[in-house]
Amino acid sequence: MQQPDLAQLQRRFWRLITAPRGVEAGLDEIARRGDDPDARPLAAWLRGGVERLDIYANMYFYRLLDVLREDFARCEARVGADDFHDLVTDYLLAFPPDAPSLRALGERFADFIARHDIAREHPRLANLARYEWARVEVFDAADVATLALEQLAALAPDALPELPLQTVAAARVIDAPDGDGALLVWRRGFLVYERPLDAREAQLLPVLAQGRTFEALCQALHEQSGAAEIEAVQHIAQLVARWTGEQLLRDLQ
Amino acid sequence: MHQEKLDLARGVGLRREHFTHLLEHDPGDVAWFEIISENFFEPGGRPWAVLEKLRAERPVVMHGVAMGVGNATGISRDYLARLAALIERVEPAWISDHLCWGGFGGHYAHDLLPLPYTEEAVRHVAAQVRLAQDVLGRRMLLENVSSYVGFEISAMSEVEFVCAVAAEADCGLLLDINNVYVSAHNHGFDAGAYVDAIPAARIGQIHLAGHSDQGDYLFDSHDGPVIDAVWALYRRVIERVGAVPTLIEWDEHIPSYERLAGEARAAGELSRSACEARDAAA
Repeated sequence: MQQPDLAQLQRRFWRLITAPRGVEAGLDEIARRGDDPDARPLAAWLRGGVERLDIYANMYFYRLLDVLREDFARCEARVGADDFHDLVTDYLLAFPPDAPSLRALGERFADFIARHDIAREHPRLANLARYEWARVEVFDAADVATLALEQLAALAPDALPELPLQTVAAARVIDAPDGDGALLVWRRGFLVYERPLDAREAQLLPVLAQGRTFEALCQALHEQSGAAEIEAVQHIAQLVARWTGEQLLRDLQ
Repeated sequence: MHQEKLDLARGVGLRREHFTHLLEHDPGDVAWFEIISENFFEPGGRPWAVLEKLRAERPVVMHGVAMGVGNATGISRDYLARLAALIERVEPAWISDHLCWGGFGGHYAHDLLPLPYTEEAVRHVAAQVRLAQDVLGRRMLLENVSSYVGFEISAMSEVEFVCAVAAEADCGLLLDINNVYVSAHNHGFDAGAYVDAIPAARIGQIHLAGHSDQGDYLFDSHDGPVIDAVWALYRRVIERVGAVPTLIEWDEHIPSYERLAGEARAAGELSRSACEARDAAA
């Protein structure tokens, strides 16, 4: 038997430690495929045996499972530990980690759940996962200076139309996980907050991720709702005051 | 012995379990902190608030877990770019990563996987380390990892491999004494001879940690205090090479900050004692 070079060895090792049912089953799968005939016998290339290689297989899976259990604790509570374990097994087969930080591991989890069989039994599970992921994302999103109420109060009236409005990086608008309507999730200081949004806010806030002027936002409300222009201006002024108090808006001045 | 050099023995790893304590309190007599580089790839929030506070109070070093200097497919350029940006923001006293591989085909194991000890691997890893050092514009330290398997193709001992890579890459070494102890037990080599063989001039940092006994092997669990045999190896190294920046790693069942700082204090006291013995023998 020829000894593997570095790339061959790592490919074989990788296949075995990421095999979903352990190293022995992974060896069976390689044999079935017939694309690495030297993988067996293990002792011909590896010192330590299946049990020692399984240490790496277990570390691979359980470290990732632990990360997802922490990020999606409510999802696990909803489906139970066993089904969550199986769901994660399927997820990691579909999306092996492709980022150097474990923080990114759950990025595709909600979309994956939406397409998975488990969604038939738990139709709102994907929404719940999106909610939990939004909380993860805003937790360590970029810090930015926020608009202060004093700045708003000091604004000259003729400067108001051109006031630039943009939400902070640590803000997400998502579907409410267990009800109708939308939910705002955002970070203020170190703490993550959330509150339900009415239909108007749910339409306007996502637009502000890219940024709009006060005047453009009034125009958007006017076009979306058919509200009279004066009514739209008054409504946006109230919302901007609220968002400023909630530290939802960047200081772009 | 200069006090500043002795103080270097009292480092601890920054873990989120201690964020609240460190935001509200002085870090005490801990001399410096090590962060896991990848944990700060996201740009803001509480982690960065803690880090910015600590940076103002103590030296900070960056320890990576995902560079993959041994990956057959090579180090990701995107990873190096992100690390370079982090280095610019953190301004660490030094940086380190592991002498291992950690992924294949663009995927990450998020684990420290063992390399075969071959000339091919020496050449490959050394070239990757040189590349990383060129891109990052600074020398790095490579840490020896603990392992549970070996490879029939290996043509040299682990310590010969470690020294050969360091020499060919011209990098420093982060000597993890607990890892030496764990791997010596698991593979049946002499831990004392291993640490004696590491060139003093290459040792830029030392790691100490706890491990767990799984019956037929030791597991590098970082879940408890440093055991006496590892402390004895540490003393052996310091008596030979002098004071080295030393850090206690504790990643599972993480104790209070005070307890962790106490372990770091113990490392500092042992380092002082070993240095005194070294000076007396000189």
